Amino acid sequence: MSKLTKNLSLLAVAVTAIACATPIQLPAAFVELGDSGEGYRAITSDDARIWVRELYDPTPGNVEFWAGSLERDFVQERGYELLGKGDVKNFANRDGRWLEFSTNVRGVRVDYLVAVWVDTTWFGSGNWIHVVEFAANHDVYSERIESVRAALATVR
Amino acid sequence: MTSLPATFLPAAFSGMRILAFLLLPLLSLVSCAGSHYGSSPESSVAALDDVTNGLVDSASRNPLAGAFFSDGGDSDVRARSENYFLGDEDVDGLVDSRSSSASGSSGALADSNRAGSDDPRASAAPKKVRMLIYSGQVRVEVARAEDAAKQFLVKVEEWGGYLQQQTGTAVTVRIPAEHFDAAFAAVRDAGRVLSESRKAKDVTEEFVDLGIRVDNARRSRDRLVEILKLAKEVEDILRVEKELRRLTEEIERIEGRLKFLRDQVSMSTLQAQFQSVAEAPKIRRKRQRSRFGWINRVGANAVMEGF
Repeated sequence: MSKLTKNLSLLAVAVTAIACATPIQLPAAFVELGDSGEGYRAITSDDARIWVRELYDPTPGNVEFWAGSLERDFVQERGYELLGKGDVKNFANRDGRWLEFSTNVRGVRVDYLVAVWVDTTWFGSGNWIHVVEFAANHDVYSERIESVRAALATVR
Repeated sequence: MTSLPATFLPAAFSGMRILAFLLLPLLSLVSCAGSHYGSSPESSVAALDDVTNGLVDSASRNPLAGAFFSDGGDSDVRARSENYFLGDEDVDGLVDSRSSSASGSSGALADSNRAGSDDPRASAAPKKVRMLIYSGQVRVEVARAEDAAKQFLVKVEEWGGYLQQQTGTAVTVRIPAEHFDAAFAAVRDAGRVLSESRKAKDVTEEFVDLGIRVDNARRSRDRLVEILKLAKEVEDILRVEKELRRLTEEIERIEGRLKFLRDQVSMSTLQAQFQSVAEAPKIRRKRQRSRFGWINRVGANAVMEGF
């Protein structure tokens, strides 16, 4: 095998590895869902859920703008109760924001964490928003939240 | 004596006969009137006493019998009830309200004693006293409901009342009966009246009947106590004691009811609801979807239901 072929093979493996890398290092007890749903989804046996997605919006905004828009929509339009918010860094040490809410889904109290990071598209006409969501019934949420917070630092 | 002319005697005799004819009916009328109008004030009270005494034994022990209902318009049963009532220690809650109408066995007795005195009030027809439980509710529209409710509660305290229940700006208060009308008017005057109602429940009959029952029960109990002292056989003693227990329970139950009625009569209940003029209708605003599409795709509902 020529040197060029060897290098190409290594490059292909590296690219494949990068492409196949999970967008988040799952906390213990979470398993990745094997179906072909949108984004990257994982779940625990007690129905705690993590959902990682990249969503596009043509509006060019920074992370503060999008975090503020989320908070306003959740609190003022959906009636969520804001429990807390703060900064978070991902695997690449990029700044993001997290927001934590409490709400009711079908009459059951559900706590919800959302973290966002923002990428500007290469042509500069919009944003790719990296969204990590974690939701569970209140008791389950309380048990899992610390491990999920820790996992946010592994988001790619 | 001067002799009269023979012709004059028949004429004079005839004139006396006419005079006698005229005087006789007049004397009859005077004597009848004397037997009726000439009696003392006591005699008129005593006459009513006789009626009531004939109906109730206990009334005969009550010197005030009949004084309460002097108009005689009520039935005998009512008069009997009132006599029981007056002689009962448990119904002293009514004494104050009746003091002007001559009754009671202690303090209010003074008025009844006046029935035999020269006091003109004693001979005046006493009024009937009713046991009335007043209650009402008023709903008013005001500029500032909370302020209006607070101001009303301050007045209630001044009247010697108290707050029984409050839900927002709707309050239920208990106030002394004599201030009920003032309280009702105070709420009405606070703003625009949206609705109002009030009523007076007459519990006089029940109160009087309970008085009779408790009096009878007490006397029966006293008799049983005497019988118990004489009883020799164990079986008799047990039977009497059983009956004594039953009577005691009955007395306590009636006394409790009397106490409750007395409280209800003395303290009126008023519900006042203050409603703000500018109070917005409680219609939940429909959710406005975000102008940013991706935001509409995230959220707790999306994770829990569209996962």
